[in-house]
Order: sequence, then structure tokens, then C-alpha cells
Amino acid sequence: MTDIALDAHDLTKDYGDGAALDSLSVSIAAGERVALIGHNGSGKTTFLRLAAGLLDVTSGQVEIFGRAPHDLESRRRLSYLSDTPVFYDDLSVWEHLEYTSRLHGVADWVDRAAELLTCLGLDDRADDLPTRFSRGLKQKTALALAVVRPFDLLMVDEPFVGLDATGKEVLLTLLDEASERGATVVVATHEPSFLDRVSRVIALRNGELVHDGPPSDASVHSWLHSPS
Amino acid sequence: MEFLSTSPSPYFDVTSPPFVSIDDLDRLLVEPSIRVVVADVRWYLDGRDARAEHRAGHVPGAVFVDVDDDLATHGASIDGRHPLPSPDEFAAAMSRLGVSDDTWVVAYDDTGGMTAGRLVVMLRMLGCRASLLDGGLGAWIERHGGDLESGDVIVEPLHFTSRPWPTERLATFADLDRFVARGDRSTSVVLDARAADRFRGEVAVAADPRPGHVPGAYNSPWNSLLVDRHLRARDDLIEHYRSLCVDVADDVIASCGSGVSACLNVLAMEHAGFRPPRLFVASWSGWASDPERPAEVGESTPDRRRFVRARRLDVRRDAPVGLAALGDLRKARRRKRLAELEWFEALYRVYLAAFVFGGSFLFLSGLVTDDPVSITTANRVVAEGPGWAGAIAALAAALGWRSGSLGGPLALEDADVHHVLTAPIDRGRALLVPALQRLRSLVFVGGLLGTAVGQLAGRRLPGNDTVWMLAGALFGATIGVLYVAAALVGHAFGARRWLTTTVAVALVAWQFGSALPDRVELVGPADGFGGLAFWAMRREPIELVSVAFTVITAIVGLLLLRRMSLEALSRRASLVTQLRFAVTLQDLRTVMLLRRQLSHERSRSRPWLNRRRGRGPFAEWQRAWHGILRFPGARVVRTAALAVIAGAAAGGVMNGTAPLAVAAGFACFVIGLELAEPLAQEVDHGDLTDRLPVVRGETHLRLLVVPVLVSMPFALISAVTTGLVGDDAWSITAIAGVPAIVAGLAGAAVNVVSGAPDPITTITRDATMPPEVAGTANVIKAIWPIAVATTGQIPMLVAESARRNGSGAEAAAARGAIFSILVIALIAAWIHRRDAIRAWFEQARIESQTSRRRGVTS
Repeated sequence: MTDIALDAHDLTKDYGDGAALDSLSVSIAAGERVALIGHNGSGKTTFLRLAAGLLDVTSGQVEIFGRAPHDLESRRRLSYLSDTPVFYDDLSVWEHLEYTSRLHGVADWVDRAAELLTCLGLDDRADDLPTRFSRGLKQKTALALAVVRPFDLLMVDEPFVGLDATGKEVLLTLLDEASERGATVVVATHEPSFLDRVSRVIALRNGELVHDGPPSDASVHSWLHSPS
Repeated sequence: MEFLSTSPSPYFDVTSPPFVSIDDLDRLLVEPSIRVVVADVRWYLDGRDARAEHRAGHVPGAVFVDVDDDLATHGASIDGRHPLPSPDEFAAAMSRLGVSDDTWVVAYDDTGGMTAGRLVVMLRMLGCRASLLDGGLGAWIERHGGDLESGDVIVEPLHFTSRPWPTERLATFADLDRFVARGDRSTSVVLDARAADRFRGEVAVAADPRPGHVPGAYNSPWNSLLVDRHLRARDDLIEHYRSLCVDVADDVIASCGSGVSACLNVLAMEHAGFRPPRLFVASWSGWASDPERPAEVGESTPDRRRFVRARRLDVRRDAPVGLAALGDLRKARRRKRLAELEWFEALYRVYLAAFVFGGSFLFLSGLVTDDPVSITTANRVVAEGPGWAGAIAALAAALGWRSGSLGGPLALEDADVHHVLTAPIDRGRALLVPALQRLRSLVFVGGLLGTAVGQLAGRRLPGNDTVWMLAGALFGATIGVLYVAAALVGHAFGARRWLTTTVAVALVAWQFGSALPDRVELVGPADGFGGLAFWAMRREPIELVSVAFTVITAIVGLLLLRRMSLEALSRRASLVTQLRFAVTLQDLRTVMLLRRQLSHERSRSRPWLNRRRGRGPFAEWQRAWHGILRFPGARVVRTAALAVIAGAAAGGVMNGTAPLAVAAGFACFVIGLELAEPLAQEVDHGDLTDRLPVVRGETHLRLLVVPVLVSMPFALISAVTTGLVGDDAWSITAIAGVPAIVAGLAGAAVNVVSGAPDPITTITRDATMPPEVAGTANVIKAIWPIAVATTGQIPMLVAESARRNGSGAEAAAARGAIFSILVIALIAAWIHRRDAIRAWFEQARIESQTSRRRGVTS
């Protein structure tokens, strides 16, 4: 067992027209609560997707609890909430919850699923198809799917976009709950208020690491507000 | 007339709202067309004499309605204190009170509706107009002062038809028993309208046989619906009832002490926009009088989760998880899809596929005569055939290998990539089913085509027909498997694209090289595959090695499934679905666009050359250059290769093979599609074009100027190739080279522009056409751009024909070129004036229809 939840070493991703992520090396310890900030195109999503195994690494490596992202154990311990959630056309919210839970080996999922739907205000939409939802409702559904299964590392990409005030509140509560039970939480965000709730801020710019430190550091807000 | 609440009721068969304000009542009383009876329905739980109160002072003209005698009967204790009277009893009471079938009864009491609601609900249940006066007697006094009428009100009896109580509006003991028995699994809500302390069982009230409430019921006290005896605001009520879960419940039952105050919940829910609950008339007085029926005391907290959970009773708690769940869930999805399948449509599709395949087969059969070939030809077929058939195998392997490097051959749903492949289950096994499905479908298609071709070959070539068909099937199926196997292995190894392309081209070139007539002694790598197809004429058991090789490669590919790239699978997921759809619609431009995306071919971020900004005769000139100078290298190379193919085919025409003109025309058309990209981009973003203060056709035409210029180097490549391949073709190709390429561009422009949304025709013609006609229209739409492109080959055709006839080939080519240029000019004019022409036609169509209609009416 390693104490490092996410370890990237010289991680580079090139989509064919320049590096979207350039030799990024960063380690996130188990139990940390990290905000990943940066302007559009700075490489946040690329970094999270590489760590989630959804993108192929151009060079370098990334490990989840000491194993490659495609490893079974990594997949068991990592939950990734994408900024563009994907759903099946023919499954309802409830059926998605069942599918995800059972694929992740959770047999007793009904109570947890019902609880999540209630706190996200989706209990009367459980039988609807999420592909027909608005952006905010899709985001809520994806959030429920991300946390209905067990995980030790939760990576969330731009979760606040499209959520109403209640949704944001619930999201923050769920992130708090995850942290309280020892999970590592990494959130890519533009939401300045979230920085008060993390222990560490990693800032990217043009695919490179430009800041890694506590949120109290004065430069953090300048990275958030400076022109790209 | 506007009322306090909705009118007519969406729930009861009445045209009156559940509540009226004092303003509404005042207006109703002076409305001559409506007969209104005001009813005083005061009643007191503390034993006060309601009739005496009525006599002391009531709304002028209001009749007194006795809750105990007019609105209830006297039954057994289990029926509660106020069971419904029989329909005849109720009809008699109403008649006596001067209420007829069409009377609008406005009821009031002095609590805000605790008792008067009962009369209103009973009348509304029977479909009679009845409303509760918001604010009750207090509202009247506030509006009209203390000027009340005293004494009895005597009215003339009227006829009120006796009607049975509608059972669907009433809840029974059986309903409540079921509710209690299901407990947490129930999706019903029982609302108890008694005061909170009575509901909790904290106070002993003589009216209650014992303390408490029906287990699982929620408390909605009647007075909590009122503020100063007036109904609370609608939004407040909605919030109140949502907090009691009525919005997520399948069924709501209204209860109270004896079915009286519960009626206020019935009316308030209707007013708030919810479906009114069913009334449990016996209520707590009836329920609690049976000592066998359970009771609950204390608070009852509504739990919304209960309803979500309760609807999932069919969830198997012992359902398999992990990989075992995947199969289970896939089966469930398949069942669901089959259940939702439109069988008629599916059968129609099968019919169409069989029709097209059968038609094509018959057409090909018609081309192949039944005369056996000569011995010499048969010998040539045996000698050269395996090499050419092997070329098909080499091509399949090369294409499969390349498809693998681009993310093929599997086409999953994007959701599968994100949900299944990121789950902690064995990816190899999760992908096995889609991989086997892919293999199965290609084996089927390959086998079917092989059988058909074998049958045709058997008619002219020596050998047993059945063996020809079996060998054809084996060859076709092997090729199908080879394609998938090569793709699976290519994907798993993730070879770089340039390397894959090089190996693929080398393999195909080697095989083609070995197949050329003069090179028969050179062994091709895929000869063994090709030989399989000719087993009816010659049998080489060693060739079975190619089958074994294919099977082993497929097994290796299946074993390597877990190495598949999620990035490639995800990119491919959405594109393949769109690609299939585009192919179905014969939409060549979209097919090309999606193929480019599948190959990950994107415009360069930096142009090949930096042009100085702001130069050029018009904005479209500049825009077209910006687009074309960002063409990726692969597209430039591909276009050049197409120019070589077009030139070689044109050379073949000059050598006497006239049908090659179609191949040359098609190649020019594809070159045109590549070069017309600036126009295609404009068409794809038509909403931007429509915002410009320029006629659309003008913009479209101007965007073709640069592509025409850029096509010149490709015209040169094509012309040189024709000169090299064709016999004595240099002078002809000098005349015909440029028109051929520009005609290809014209055809492409037609294809691209036809894909633009049609702002002129308002009706969707396809939707109104029978499928056969719509299908044919689609085919014609796909073919005519290629036909335009092929007119560019006319100079070659007429020159070759003139040469054969001994007349001047150059002069004929020049005449042909003039014809091609005329066609191109016509197309340019059509693009420019297209909208105007269509508008004119549409106008003419509408006018002719209008005049025809006039003719019919006169």
C-alpha cells in the first residue's frame, strides 16, 4: 500500500498540434484535498483524463495508488466525474445507478442510490432518461453515479458549471463526506470560493505546472484571475 | 369570469373552482344566468348547537346544512361518526334545501372550511358545481359588516337527481389495510387532517375511540392550510404538500376524525394543482373502533426516499455484481430494446435489404452469361486468379491493420467506454461480446458475398457449382475474419500511423505486383488466401494454412482485447454511428468528413504559408485561402494520389476501356470534395451565411474560385499520368486535363450545396413520400453530382472514339472540352441562382395549388 494517491512523472500529452500537457510531475498524497486550477486550455481536463485512463499517454507515466490507470485495482479505487458526462440512451437514472453500482461490485446499492437521488432532488426523475436532461440535471446524475460506488480517489472536472445553488451545496457536502472518510479529492475548477475548502492548489498554464502550494498563497488568486 | 382558483376543474367533472373569494361570491350573486345557493355548514365538535348559531345570524339567504343529518347517515361504529348518506338521502336533503342539479352551491362555515368543505367535496364528487367561500362567514362580515340575517331560511324544494357515490373518489378499509401492510414499501400517502396533538395521540378526545393515527400516515392539520381562516397562498400550499411527498406518491388518501375536515385537504390539494386525494370517510373514528386495527402514536416524519425505494421492489438483492452483472445487464437492455422495437419497421428494413441484395445479384447474373469460358481462359484464371483474389485478402488485411491503428474495429457506445471499461472488471472479457459480434457479422457478410460470387463464377468456369459456392463462402468468411483479426492486433499494438500505412501499402503493393500477368512467378504473401476461392478448379491443401493463420490471428486479437485504448474507442464511438447513418443516406460529403475525423485528421494550426492579411478581391477569397493553406499533409498526399488514379483511369479510357471514365469521374469528384472544403465549411455553418447581407449563392460561388486555382497542380498530375498510361495521349490530355478536374469540383460543389438546409420549400417532402420513392430520390441525389463530375471525361471519350474512327482526335477533344466547360458554367449559374430558381418554382407550385382549390370550390 502506498501513501501516494496520484503520481504523475514527466507526463506529456500531445494531440498532434503541440503538447496539451508538458512534462508534468506532481504527486498527490492519499487523503489530500486538491484544487486544480488554470485557464481554459491549460491542461486540467487532459491531466484528469490521463489519470483516469481515458486518454493515452504520449510520454511519461501516471499512477493511481502505485498502479497504472488501466489496472483493475486503479479502476476500483478511482472515481472520475467528467465535465461532459456520457449516458446510455436507453437507461433511466435509476438504471444507470444500478448498472454502475453492480459493475463496481456493490450488491447493496439501493439505499445509497435512493439517498443520493433524494439529496440531489432527483427522486421524482429516477425513471427519466438522463440523455434528455438539461445540463444541470445531467451533472447531478453524473455526480450520483460518481459517488454511488466506493472509491479512494475522487477526481471531478468542472463540477460547478451548470449546477444551481442547491446542487452546488449538495456537491460540496458530498465532497466533504468523501474527504471525511479519508478519500483523496481532486477538483478541477474555476470556482474561487472552492479554494477555501482545499489544502492544496495546483495551477497549470499551457500544460505546465506553474504553482503548487497552499491556497493561502497570494499567487493563487493571481493565477486564477490573470490573463491566459 | 376569473375566480380565486382554477375553473373549470381538471379533476372533477365540474365547471366551478374549489374555492371562491368573497369578491367572486358577490359577482356570482348578481349573475342572472347562474342559480347560486349559499349554504351555511357550521358544525361544532364541542357540542354547540350549529342550527341555533345559524338562526342567530347568517349570510342573507343562506340555507342551513346539518352535517350530522344532511351530509351523513347513522351507521355502525366501524363506519365512523359521519358515514356518507345514501344517494337518495343526500338527493332528498339537497332538494329540500333548494339545490337542483344545475345550482352552484357556495358553502361557508366560521372556521375557514373545516366543515363546509364536506358539502363542497360531496357535491363536486357528483359532478355538481360547488365551491368553498374563502374566509367563510368572517369574510362576509368583513366585506358587508355585521348585517346578517336571522331566523330560518325557507326555500322552495327543487329536484336533485340521486346519483351513486363514485367509488374511485373514495378510499376503503381495504386500501388502508394494504397501505399499512406494505409499510415502507408503500408508494401511497395517507394525510390525516386532525390537529397535531390528536394525530400524535397526546390528547384524549371523546370523539376518538383511542389515541393515535393510522400507521404510516402523515399529518396535514386542516388549520395548517389556513392563515386567519383564509386559504394560504398557492405556493405555500405547494410547498406544504411537497413536504408531505404527495408529488412523488402514486396515490393520496385524505383522512381525519370522521371524514369532514379531511375534505379541506381534498380541496386545497386541487387548488394547489395536485390531483385531489381520495376521501376515507370512516377516518380515524371508524378505523380506531376496530380494536384489531393497528395504531401508531407520536410524530410521523415524511421520507421521500421511501417512495424511490418502494418503486424498486423488483430489485434483486442477490443480483450478481462485477463481470457477472455485465452479462445480466446486457441481456436486460437487449430485452428492453426488443420490447421497444418497431417490428413492422424492422421487417421492412429486412425486406429492403433483401430487395437491394437480391436485385444486385440478379443484375450481376444478367451480366454473366452461362457460356463456359474457353480452355485457354480457364487456364489463365487458374494461373492468375489466386494472385488477384489474394490481392483482396491483402487489401482486407491492410485496411484492417490500418483501421486498428485508428481505433477499430470495435464500435462501442461512448457510454460503454465511460461506464463499463472504467469499472474494475476484466476489460478483455467485457469486450469479448462486441468483438465476437463484429467477427460474426463480417463472417456473415463475407460468406454471403463469397457464395454469390462463387455461384456466378461456377456458371462459366469449370468445376462443381456447389464447390464454387462453398469455396466462395470460405474465402469470403476468411477475408471477413482476416479484416477483424488484423484490426484487433493492429489496435492492441498501437503502432504509429505512418508505420501502419507503410506496412499496409507495402503488403498490398507486393501482392498486386505478384498478381500482374507478367509476374506470375513472384509469390505473393496472400496467394494462399486467393487460392481458396478456386478450389472448384484446383485444390491445394496447404492453402488451409491461410485459414489457420487467420483463425490464430483472430484468437491472438481476442486475447489482446484488454490492451485496447479507451481514447481511440471513445473517439470512434460516436463517429462510427454517424458514419453508418451517413452511408445509409448516401451522404458522401458527411462520410468523407467522418472518415477524416476517424483518422484523426485535423486542420493544421499553422498554415503552410503565411499570406498577408486583407489582400484579395473579396472576403471569400481570403477565407478560402485560410482554409486550404491549413490542409493537413495527409490530405494533400491523398488528393495527389487521387489525381494519379484519375489520370490512370483516363489513360485507360484512351486505351479503349470506356467504362473507366466512371472511375476517373468519381476520382475527380472525390478530389473536388477535398478541395471544396471552404465551401463545405460555409454550408455546414449555414446560419452564419444567412446572416450576411449577401445572396447565399454569391458567397458559395466565390468560395469556389480559390479551389479552382488550387486544383490546377492536381490537374497537371492527372494529365501527366494520363499521358504516361494512355497510348499517344499527350495532346488529348493537354486539352482535357483541366476540364476533367474542374468538372469534378463542379460535381463536388453540387453535392455540398445540395446538403444545405432548404429555406425555400416549407414542407418536408421526404416525410410525405412513400419509402420507395424517398429512397430512389436519395439515390438520385447521390448520383447526379458524380454524373456532373463524369462529364469532365467526355473529351477523352469522344477523342478516343474519333481516333478509332480515323478522324481528328484533338478536334474532337476540343469539342468535348467546350461541352464540359458549358456544363461547368451551367453548374456555376445554378449555384449562384439556385435560391431564386427554387423560390420561383415554389411560388408557381403554391399558385397552381391555390387556383386548383379555387376551381374545386367554384
